[in-house]
Amino acid sequence: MNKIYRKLLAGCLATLGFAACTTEEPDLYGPMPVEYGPTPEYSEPKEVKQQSRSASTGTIDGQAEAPQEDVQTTDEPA
Amino acid sequence: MNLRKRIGQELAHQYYKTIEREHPLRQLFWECTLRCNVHCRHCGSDCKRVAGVPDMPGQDFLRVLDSVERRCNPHKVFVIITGGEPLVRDDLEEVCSEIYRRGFPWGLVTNGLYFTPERFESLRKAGMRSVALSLDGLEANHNWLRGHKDSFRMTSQAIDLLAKSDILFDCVTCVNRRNYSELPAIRDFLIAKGVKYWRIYTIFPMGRAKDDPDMRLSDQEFRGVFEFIRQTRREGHIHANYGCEGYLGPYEADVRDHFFHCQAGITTGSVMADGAIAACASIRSDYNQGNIYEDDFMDVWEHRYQPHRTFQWRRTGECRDCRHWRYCRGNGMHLRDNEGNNILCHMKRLGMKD
Repeated sequence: MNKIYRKLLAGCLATLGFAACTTEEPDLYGPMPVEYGPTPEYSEPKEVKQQSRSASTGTIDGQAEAPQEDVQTTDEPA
Repeated sequence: MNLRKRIGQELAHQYYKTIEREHPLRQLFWECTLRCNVHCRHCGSDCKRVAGVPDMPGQDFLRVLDSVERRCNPHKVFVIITGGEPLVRDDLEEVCSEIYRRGFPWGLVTNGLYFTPERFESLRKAGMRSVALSLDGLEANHNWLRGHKDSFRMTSQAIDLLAKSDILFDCVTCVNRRNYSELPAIRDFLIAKGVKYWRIYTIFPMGRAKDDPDMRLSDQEFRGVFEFIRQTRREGHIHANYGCEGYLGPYEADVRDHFFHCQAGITTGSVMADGAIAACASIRSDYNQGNIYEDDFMDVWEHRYQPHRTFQWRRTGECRDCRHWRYCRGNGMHLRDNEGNNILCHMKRLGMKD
């Protein structure tokens, strides 16, 4: 329920032209650049168990996330 | 503040509350070393650090990721390698290849001094996905702040390498009294280099910068930074953002992509060089939540971090009766001292607090 509400709010924010926060950002894992050969075998999410969340939402986190709303870069000065 | 923004701010407030309830781990900082190859005037690592903390062995951090992987989708947890200066570690690529092999995307925070073409290639090969690169002015001011004569040249080279690549990166600028008037020139320099994202932040009173008058902006300059970012965003040639700290009232959503929300301990966790489990590397060690050598990281993530996920305790001092409390909620966690007091109010500095 929390997750549905969150997606609804993110949608309303987007409608008004505002971005939501980094929680909704995309999977940045991606493949290796082709020149470096194949991506490591691990390319699909493993079984996910985020205890507190699965208990409260009944869903598996990390699946069916909202569309990208922003980019993510490291957020700390060097 | 117009009606659209007021509605947006309230929606964002409700949205953030849903995130606080779930506190999904999304960014994990690893302070892989406290060693550094430059001596920056504003370094926050001097806050409470004693020299001589050895680098954390890569295997120790990988065990943390094993803990994370058991409970999270690793593709959704972005590992951010920070320091010190991460590139002083000779085994960085080896460790980061393992991070990537475990399914975690990772990015690097660097001052660029050791960011040679060869190093860049080896980092890409290890699966690097993003870079945050420090640029604190044009040559004279950048080298002054970084305390190294070659720093600007190497950073400039790093920008060229990154701009030609498919790596997501941004340049990060610490605004101080010296480079304040140079901001338009820095902007033009970055645009000419093909930089798409630019993050600007101001000094908060900790570390070496606390007592350095060259680092502290006047109130007028402080406000000028936000006017500059707002104008730059309107022009649209480069995507400028103010750093994550500080509730900014009428500047909210004009100088940042998001409405203010301190994500430390809510979506952001950190593993410090000594093994401490923290929220964000800028937060005082008083708020550390455990240590990887004594605790399981994810147990700590799931069951501790109460100071970061609750807000009423912060409603003291000048926050007690503040009319901006609803959306500010006591500013960023890194601005709380060891007694829980707020050491910097952005609204006050902007002259917008009652």
